[in-house]
Amino acid sequence: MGNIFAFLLRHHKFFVFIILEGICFSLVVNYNRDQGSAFSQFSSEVSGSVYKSFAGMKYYFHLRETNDSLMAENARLRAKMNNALYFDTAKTRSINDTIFKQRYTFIPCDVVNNSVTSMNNYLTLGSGKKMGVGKHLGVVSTAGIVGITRDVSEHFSSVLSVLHKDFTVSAEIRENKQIGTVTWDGRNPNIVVMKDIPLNVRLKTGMHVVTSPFSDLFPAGTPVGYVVKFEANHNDANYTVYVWLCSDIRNLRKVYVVNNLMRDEKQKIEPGAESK
Amino acid sequence: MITFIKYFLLFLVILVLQVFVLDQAPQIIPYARPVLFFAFIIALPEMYDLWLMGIAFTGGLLLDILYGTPGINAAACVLLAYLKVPLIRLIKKDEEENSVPSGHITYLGFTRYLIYILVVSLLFHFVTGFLSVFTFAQAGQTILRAIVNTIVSVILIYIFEIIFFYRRSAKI
Repeated sequence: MGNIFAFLLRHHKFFVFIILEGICFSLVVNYNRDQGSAFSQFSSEVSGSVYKSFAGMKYYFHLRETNDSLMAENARLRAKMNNALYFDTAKTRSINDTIFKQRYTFIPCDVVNNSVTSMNNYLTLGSGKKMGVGKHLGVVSTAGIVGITRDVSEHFSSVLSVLHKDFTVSAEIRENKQIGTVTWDGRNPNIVVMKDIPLNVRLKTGMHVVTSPFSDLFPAGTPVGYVVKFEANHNDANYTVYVWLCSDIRNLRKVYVVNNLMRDEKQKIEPGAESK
Repeated sequence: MITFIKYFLLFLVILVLQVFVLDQAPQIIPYARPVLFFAFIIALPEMYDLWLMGIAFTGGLLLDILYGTPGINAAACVLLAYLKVPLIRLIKKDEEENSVPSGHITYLGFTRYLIYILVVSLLFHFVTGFLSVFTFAQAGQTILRAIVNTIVSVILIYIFEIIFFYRRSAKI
């Protein structure tokens, strides 16, 4: 403290000078119109830029809250968009024919979730019990088979994709009516494996593979794919046929759930038979 | 006391000369505003610096009130008062190391006195010039005005000094 006083005392002339000049300056800016307006303009510019940068810093620290509120608003807006609403007005399409009795009905569905990369792949459809989707029904796209429904809720259903190790379907080669079983080996999401084709059958690449009449899930003749490669398996005297899938599971948007109206009737007279 | 009255009268003379004669005179040289006013700071005898600054501030403010520009002349006068002694110490003859510094022509000599009042009036006109326009936007014109004003003022103060303070002897 004593040092401060000593310092002030030693330089008292300078401090008095500064004080007097400060008084003069305040007089200049307070009592002269031009200087006053210039000074206030300058000071407001300085304070404005200081406050602006300070506000920018404050804004940065509040980014989290800003983000959260924006995300909440986005979510609210998204919920109002058309694709967030569930349309239960869509009608089941069926063919009414006087000669043929209706066996299959098709329920159009949107694919809302999809996976192809894991060993067991599933799809989720945006239709459920309300639309008539039941458990264990076939799912086809416009190109070919897609999978089998597994669990069904009110508005959604989960589909066991062709690309699932538990998926099997009875299929035949259209050109020579040879029936086999289609499964997936878990490798390429575009290629499924067909087994149980005996070695005596003549195979060519490019042959069409369709679902067989044995299947309850799909109408007979629904495309599965076409043969790209086949290997003779001499242990059980069968071919291993590699089939390129017709449906591009990766890019599915619209599918149909196949409702077999006569499945119960058929299963009733097939003791112990599991539907394929 | 007599000294005080003498200098007070001197101040009044300078003020009257400035306000009622010089400021009313027709402008002969464009821009030029002859200022004699700060001669009273130069004329004041050696005294305590705080007193000098106080008197300069008061006198400058008085002129400002007459002009209606509070603060401008006062600021310049306080600056002159603060720098008076250091300036004289800087300009004075070398051999007069220990003598009392005085800002008069008898003490400094004709040339040194000229340099002294040149510096002082340049400072004064720079400060008042920039304070009254209050911008550096047209600094060139402000500086030109300050220089022209300085030339006119220096001539005036030189004449004033010779009339009032010049003695043949070195005694003031």
